[in-house]
Amino acid sequence: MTVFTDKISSVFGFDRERDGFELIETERGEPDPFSFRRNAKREDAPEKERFPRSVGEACETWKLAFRTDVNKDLVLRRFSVGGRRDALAVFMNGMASDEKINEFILKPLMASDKTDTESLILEVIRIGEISRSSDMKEIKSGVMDGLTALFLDGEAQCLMLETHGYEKRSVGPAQNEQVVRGPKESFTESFKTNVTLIRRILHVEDLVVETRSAGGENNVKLSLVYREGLANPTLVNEVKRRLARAKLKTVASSGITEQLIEDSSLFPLPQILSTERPDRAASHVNEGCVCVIVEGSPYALVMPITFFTLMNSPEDVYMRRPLGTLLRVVRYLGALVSVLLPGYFLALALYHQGMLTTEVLSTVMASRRMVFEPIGAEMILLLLIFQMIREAGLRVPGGIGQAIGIIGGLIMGQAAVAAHLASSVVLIIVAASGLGNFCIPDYSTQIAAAYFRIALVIAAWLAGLVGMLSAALLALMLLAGMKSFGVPFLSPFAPRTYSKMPFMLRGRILVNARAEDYLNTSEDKKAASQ
Amino acid sequence: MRMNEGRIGVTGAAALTSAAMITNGLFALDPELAYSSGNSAYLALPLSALLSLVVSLCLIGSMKRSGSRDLAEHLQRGFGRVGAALAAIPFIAALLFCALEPTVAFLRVLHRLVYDGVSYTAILFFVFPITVFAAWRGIETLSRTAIVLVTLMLVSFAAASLAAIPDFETYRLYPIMGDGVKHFAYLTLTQTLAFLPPLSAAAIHMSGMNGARSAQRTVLFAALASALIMGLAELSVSMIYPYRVLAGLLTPLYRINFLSLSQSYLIRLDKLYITVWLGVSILSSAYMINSAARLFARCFGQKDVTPAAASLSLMLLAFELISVTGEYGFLSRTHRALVRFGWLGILTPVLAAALIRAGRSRRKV
Amino acid sequence: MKRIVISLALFMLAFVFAGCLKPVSLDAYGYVITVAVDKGKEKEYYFTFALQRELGGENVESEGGAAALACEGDTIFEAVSELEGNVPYSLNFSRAHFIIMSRELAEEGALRDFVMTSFDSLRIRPSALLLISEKEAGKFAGGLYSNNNANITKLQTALALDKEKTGMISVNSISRLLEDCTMMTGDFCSAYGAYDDSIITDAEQKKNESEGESPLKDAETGDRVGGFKSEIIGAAIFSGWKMTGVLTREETMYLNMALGEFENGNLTVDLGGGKNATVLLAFVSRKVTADPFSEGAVPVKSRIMLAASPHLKDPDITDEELDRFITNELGGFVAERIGGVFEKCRAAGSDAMRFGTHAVKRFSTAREWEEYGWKEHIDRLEPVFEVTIVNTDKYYSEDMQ
Repeated sequence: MTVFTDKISSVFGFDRERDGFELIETERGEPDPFSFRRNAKREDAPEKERFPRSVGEACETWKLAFRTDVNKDLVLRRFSVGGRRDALAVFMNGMASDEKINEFILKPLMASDKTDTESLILEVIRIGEISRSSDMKEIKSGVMDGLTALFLDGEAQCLMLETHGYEKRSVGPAQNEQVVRGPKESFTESFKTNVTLIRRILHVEDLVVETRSAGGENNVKLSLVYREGLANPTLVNEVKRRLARAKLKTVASSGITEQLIEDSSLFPLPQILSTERPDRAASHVNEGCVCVIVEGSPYALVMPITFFTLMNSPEDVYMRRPLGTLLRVVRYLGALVSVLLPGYFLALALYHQGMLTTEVLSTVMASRRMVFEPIGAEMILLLLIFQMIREAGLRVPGGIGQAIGIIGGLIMGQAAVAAHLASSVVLIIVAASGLGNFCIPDYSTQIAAAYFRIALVIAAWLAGLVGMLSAALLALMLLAGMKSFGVPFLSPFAPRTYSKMPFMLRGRILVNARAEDYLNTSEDKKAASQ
Repeated sequence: MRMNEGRIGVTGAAALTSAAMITNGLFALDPELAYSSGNSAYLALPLSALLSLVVSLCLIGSMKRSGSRDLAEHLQRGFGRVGAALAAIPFIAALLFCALEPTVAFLRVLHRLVYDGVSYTAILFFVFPITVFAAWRGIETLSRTAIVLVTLMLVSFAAASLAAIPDFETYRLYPIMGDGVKHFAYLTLTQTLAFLPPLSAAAIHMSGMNGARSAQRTVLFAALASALIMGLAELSVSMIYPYRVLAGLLTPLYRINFLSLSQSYLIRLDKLYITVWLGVSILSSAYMINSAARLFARCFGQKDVTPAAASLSLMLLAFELISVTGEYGFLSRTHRALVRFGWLGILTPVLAAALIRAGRSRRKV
Repeated sequence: MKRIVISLALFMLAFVFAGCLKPVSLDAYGYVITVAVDKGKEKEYYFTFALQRELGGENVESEGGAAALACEGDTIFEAVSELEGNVPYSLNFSRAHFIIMSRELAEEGALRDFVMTSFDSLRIRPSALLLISEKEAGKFAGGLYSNNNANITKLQTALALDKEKTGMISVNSISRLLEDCTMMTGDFCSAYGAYDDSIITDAEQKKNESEGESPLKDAETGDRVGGFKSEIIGAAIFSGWKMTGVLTREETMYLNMALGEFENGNLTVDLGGGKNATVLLAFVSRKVTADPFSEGAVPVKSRIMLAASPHLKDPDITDEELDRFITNELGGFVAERIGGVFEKCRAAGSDAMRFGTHAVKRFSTAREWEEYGWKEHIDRLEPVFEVTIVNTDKYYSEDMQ
């Protein structure tokens, strides 16, 4: 009997073999990992610039390369170490800290009685980070980044000294991902600060921060942050491969990087999470995701993600479970109302009037008296006006921006009804849809919802519920077929995976397991093989 | 990075298979055949599903023993390449009919009961491109969409049935199995033909379902779930309308809430429900086309499924237009022939299994 | 990129081929709530349609209610075409939930043609309630609207809810009629109403007030004041498609008890010697068995259990006396009345008590049932009604003691 019940439960339960689910598996023949010191294809790497043999030659090289006759930002400081050895300090004015250079490099070197490089590094130079390099490209990149390059006469390599001292914004609260309960810190434009913010949350020894060029001619740096013993190596390699493919004139922000590496940049929904919260980025890294931090951008990119990741707010886990669940339910309902309600109402109003109660029919008829435009055009016009008010409110700064929302919402709406440009019922529908839109936590997803909303409204105008079904089914199939770095976008609901956590509601805090099972982390593989 | 491309898990496969079975069982059921002399459909349909399950389990079991990757390989092992191509044709025809029948049923309901004065063709052109798109996308997309749609379908069935509970009357079921044992058996056997192609599609896609064991689990779960759902749905309908009334109704499940005296909005969601069911039917048709295309491509030595999917979709469009415009004389004759003699076509894989086993036994001796 | 372009092109192409599916804005329709059918003078029928007025809006007066359209026609489609040519909207029947037919037409069996030809085409939901009017159905329909409440849907729903409270109304839909006429497992009964012009409605009271008069200016002693001019006075019983008889409100209550559709009601009984008591009744259970295969008479046994709660009594009646009456005699009283109603229905050739729905359970195949021809055996029926009444007040008071 036990064998029989075991058999039945094994068919209908979750304890099935791994081939019963769709999971990320390690690919055979992994691609050559991209390294910091090389470009993606070795044959495309440009010829290495020759390292200058003397300080004088170095000085001339730098003057030519940076056009110091017009470009006064680059500082070339020749001096003598202990009065006996020529040296050249190269740094960028404004990027490097004058104080550090003067107090901890120039002063002690000039006063030093030792001239050999090793002694200078070990006993004289009072800088925390020192590295050596003979790659001129790397050295130039470092100087532009705020390091000081120290050329010593007769030395085959230069010393790269950490002297960052540029002005940066202090850590402040998140602008677009505000929470009531939870940390208020957000990322800044400083790349080091952002990494530090993550390290403060994840005190683990396998946290790797791999820094490399973002791929543009402007040599902006980016970092891959992941947990070496946890993240699926294939995933990490894939991220590296896609980053290596990206070659642009200018990589200005994480937004551009995101578009270059995501699976489909034409699809309205993002396939990479863009977050300004370090706690959110850290929690995903701790699940086995990879985080990319781009210098100059206060957003971190997290991949892979699913649709449900976009709908989750960082606040959910900080609340108690019933409250978190309620918030999520309201959020999903809001999203559904936002996308479906305008089209659904239009379908009923144009094709399936019998579904509405007599009271609603009579009220809508009365409210539409003297409105000259067809109800479909009225709906689309009001949706467009809503989007315009939203954009205007965002672009106009401070209190005026808030006032525009109030003015647009109340006065324009009232005026439109009085002028018979719109009916009050349709106005309420659009307002409800707009409110539901703001329930979606992710900004990109909010905008994407507008695409679907308009498409469904047009489809409903053309063919009622069948038209809406066609459009919704098309969108659903695109969503279902979409992948984010190999993870199906609707995981863990479709396809079903091992996850013991609810995909929508707030589950319990897991003590001994990770929530995102579809990532197929190294831990999962070890557990499966045991 | 290609992760498990073209492979689906048990849940998705079962959702897809059960969607196909339910649409063929509930919506493509001929009301005159099922109800004109009594009502035993709520017993016949689940029994048909279980009968089809037994046959498909035998089929997949034989494929497992013979080491075939999918149905096409199984036919080739049994009959050779030419024989397999010939044996695949009735199978493909059966799959196409399983794609055709529910679509035509829905078109009739939409034309007569939902939209006023709209031609079949106009409605079809909103339905057909989505079917083609879905068939073209492949089983990964189909299976994941099926998980979502089947969930919605179950919710809609539950909502419709619960709302109809106040109008249930058990006397409408009487006489129980009033059509007699002979008619009951006939209905069961003919309905098996409607369920075998969806279950056998699992055999066609067996390599994409991670092997025979997963395929067996898929058909088992799908058939049991479908049997239960169809039985409950038919039972609900049977307690709302007596058999004589049912014989004259198009898609009686659509009218399950029509008797409620309440004027509430929640009781009048029949058009919303039928939209959801239409979505499931579209998905089911796409799955049938995709399966037929795959079988065709494998049996006729083509590497890419897409041209076959496109051709079969157009063929299906032609059949749909013929069906709805009234010029369906030859189609209905073909369908009747398939119903009566289709067993021969469906049983070829089983014959192939027997041949393979016989061949192996001789070799052992 | 290519796939997306092809997908979009395919999608848009479909719309080009398909076009719109003829959308009609909801304000381009007039929503028919009630369809009333009378015999026509020059043509076959005279149709009256009551449409829901618009509610709310800036320019609508506080008076609500219905707008009426009426026209003659040989079929309902003819009348609809005629009317639509004279109004700036089309008629939409998807919210129609009252069909009122005059007694004259109902007795001729006109319901058959009306129901079979029009319902699916006009999208009238089969849950529409059927009422038979004693005289003109159009007038009866007009009498259902009160000018003080603009939402006529709620007014008409209240009529149906009355059945739950009093049990003296028969509320059945067209689908029940179809089922009964198709399956022959019983006969239909519907609400039967009459129009009384002497009733002073709320609107008339308001009008009198506005003219500076007493609200009840035109009322005479004995007149009902307030509410509809149309009232339900009983039930119409059918044999097949034809109406064959009428029951009073009290008889309808007994019919509902026999059908198992009675929920609550009250009964005033005479205990003898001019002593009256009013008892509240509530339905508990009903069990019916029928043996269609017996030789001679067809025995039918109907066991009904009701809960009774004394409500009002004359001061001369003691509690014990009342309890004795309720427990020992009231059941027989009710059973006798139910028997009387059955005989009245049988005389009208109607199985309004639907014993056929119980007889069908004894047959093994549909063909046998259809060959049996239940309606032909109604005269052979020998029903026995056993009514058990439980005095709930007594049990409650005993518990409390």
